[in-house]
Amino acid sequence: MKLKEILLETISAHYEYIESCERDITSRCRAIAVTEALTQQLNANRLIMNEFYSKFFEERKQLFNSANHVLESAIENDDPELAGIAVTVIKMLNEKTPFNNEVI
Amino acid sequence: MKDYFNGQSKNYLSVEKDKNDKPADMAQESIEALVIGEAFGVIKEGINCLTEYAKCREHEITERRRISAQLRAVNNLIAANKEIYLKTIEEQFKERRERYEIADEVIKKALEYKDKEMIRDAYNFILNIYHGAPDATEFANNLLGNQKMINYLK
Repeated sequence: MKLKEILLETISAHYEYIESCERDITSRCRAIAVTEALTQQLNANRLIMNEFYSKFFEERKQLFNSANHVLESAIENDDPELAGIAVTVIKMLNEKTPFNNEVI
Repeated sequence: MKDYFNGQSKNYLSVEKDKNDKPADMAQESIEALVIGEAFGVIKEGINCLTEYAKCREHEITERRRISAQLRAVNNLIAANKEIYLKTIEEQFKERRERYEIADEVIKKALEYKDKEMIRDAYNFILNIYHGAPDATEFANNLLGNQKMINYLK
C-alpha cells in the first residue's frame, strides 16, 4: 500500500506546514508588538528627558543671569565682597550638573 | 441418432471446488472493500490532521488577540506615565521658579540697601533649592524601569 503511505505522509506534512505557518504568524505579531511598545516607550522617554533638560537649563540660565547681575553691580560699585559672593554663586551653579546631586 | 452416453452423468466437468477459490466477481468485491477500507483510513487520518490544525489555529488566534490587547494596555500605560512625568516636571520646576523669583526680589532689595548679609542668605536659599533638583540619572532609571511592562508581551 505504497499509495496510502504517500497520501498519509503528504496530508501529515501539509498540516504540519500550515500549523508552523500559524505559529510563525503569531511569532511575528509578538515581535511587531514588542517593537511597537519599545518605540512608544523610547519616544515617551525622549520627550520626558527633553522636557527635563529644557527646564533644568532654563532654571540654570535664570540663576546665572541673577548672579551675573549681582557681579556687574559689584564691579560698578567697586565692592570686592559682593563680587566674591557673586563669583562663589556662579562657581556653585557651574559645578552642579543634571547628572548628579553631588557637587563635583 | 443414438446417444451412446445416455444415462451417464453430464456433470463430467464438475470437480470438487477448493474452499479458497473464489469466483471472479467475489474477488472483485473483496478488492473494492479493501480499497474503500484504505480510503477511509486515509480520510480518517486527514480528519485527525485537520482537527489538530483547527486546535492549533484557534490557540494561535487567541494568542494573537492576547498580544494585541496587551499592546493596547502597554501603550495606554506608557501614555499615562508620560503625562504623569511631564506634569511632575512642569509642577516641580514651576514651584522652584516661584521660589527663585521671591529670592530675586529679596536680592534686588538687598542691592538697593547694600545689605550683603541679606544677599548671602538669599543666595544660600537659592543654592539649597538648586542642589535639591531631581537627578537626571535617577530620573532616566525610573523611566527605563517602565520597560518591565513590555515583558508582558513576550
